[in-house]
Amino acid sequence: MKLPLLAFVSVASIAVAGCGGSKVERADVSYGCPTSADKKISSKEDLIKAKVEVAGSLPNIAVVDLRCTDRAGLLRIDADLKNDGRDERRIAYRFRWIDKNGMRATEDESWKPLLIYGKTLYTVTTTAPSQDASDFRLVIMDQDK
Amino acid sequence: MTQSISTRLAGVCLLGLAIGVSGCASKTRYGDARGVETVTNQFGSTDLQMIAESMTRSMLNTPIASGETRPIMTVQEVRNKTSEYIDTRAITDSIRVELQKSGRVRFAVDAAEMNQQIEELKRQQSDYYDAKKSTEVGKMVGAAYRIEGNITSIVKEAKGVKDVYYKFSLQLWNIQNGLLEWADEKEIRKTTS
Repeated sequence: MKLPLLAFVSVASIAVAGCGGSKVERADVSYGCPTSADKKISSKEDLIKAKVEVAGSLPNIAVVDLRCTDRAGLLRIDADLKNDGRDERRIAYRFRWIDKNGMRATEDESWKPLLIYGKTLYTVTTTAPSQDASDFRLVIMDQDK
Repeated sequence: MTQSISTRLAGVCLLGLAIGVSGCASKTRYGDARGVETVTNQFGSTDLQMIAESMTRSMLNTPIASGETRPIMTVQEVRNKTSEYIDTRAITDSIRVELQKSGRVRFAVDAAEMNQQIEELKRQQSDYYDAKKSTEVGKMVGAAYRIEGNITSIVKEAKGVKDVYYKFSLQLWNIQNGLLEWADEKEIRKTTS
């Protein structure tokens, strides 16, 4: 008589544990932005390092903050770019979209030219092109050369 | 002596010509189709791509394009109010491709494609086709929303500086009730000195 009861209790506890897993924040999200589970993100700097790629060299320009949110099932991103120099700078940027399997989600975006005045901050905003695009990289490049 | 000088002169000329020809030889290379193009300050590929991307992403944020219903849209004319020739159909085609790829909207045949659609429907009603497998007439689905817009420019030139300002605006209209459901603009400034 005790055996069926024990079996019921263990099945119920496994079921509860399984359901409880979905309530815990996903391990692959840091500061609201999606990140690979294998990369340890313990600060905003780590997040920026993981998400931003500089094509070539880009002195005086840096991404200083990244914010991500979900808007109607699409990833929305704000990236703050700061020009630490006194002179205005011309750069280009684009987002690279990655799906949940780490594969490229869409065709490459076009490079977008951007003028940033000296000693100012500019926020670049974008929305994922589709729900498949669940992760991203921000690529920035110098256009003054 | 004179012959020697003229021979030398001819040699120098030939050498100069050879250098000139080699210097002028054109070289063709493949480039980045998505790269920033600044050959002239006229409307270019970067402008087209930026406009299409900006408008699409903005429209995807509207409640209409964010539901599960996948609303049916149709693309109407984008009027070119600039002083230069711009293939506005290329812009609307790019916007349509991006929106279609998002999987959040569907497109009905637009006015420009209607003739081809009707021709194909008519062709399938002919005796050459198996009537059971042919498409039926009267089953086309109309769009609930229409996309239209315009592009304008302001050009100014003074003391060797040419400034071109483009403004592209796009609207999404509800065909049933005539309400403007969404609108956005993209501005571009290009200066050549």
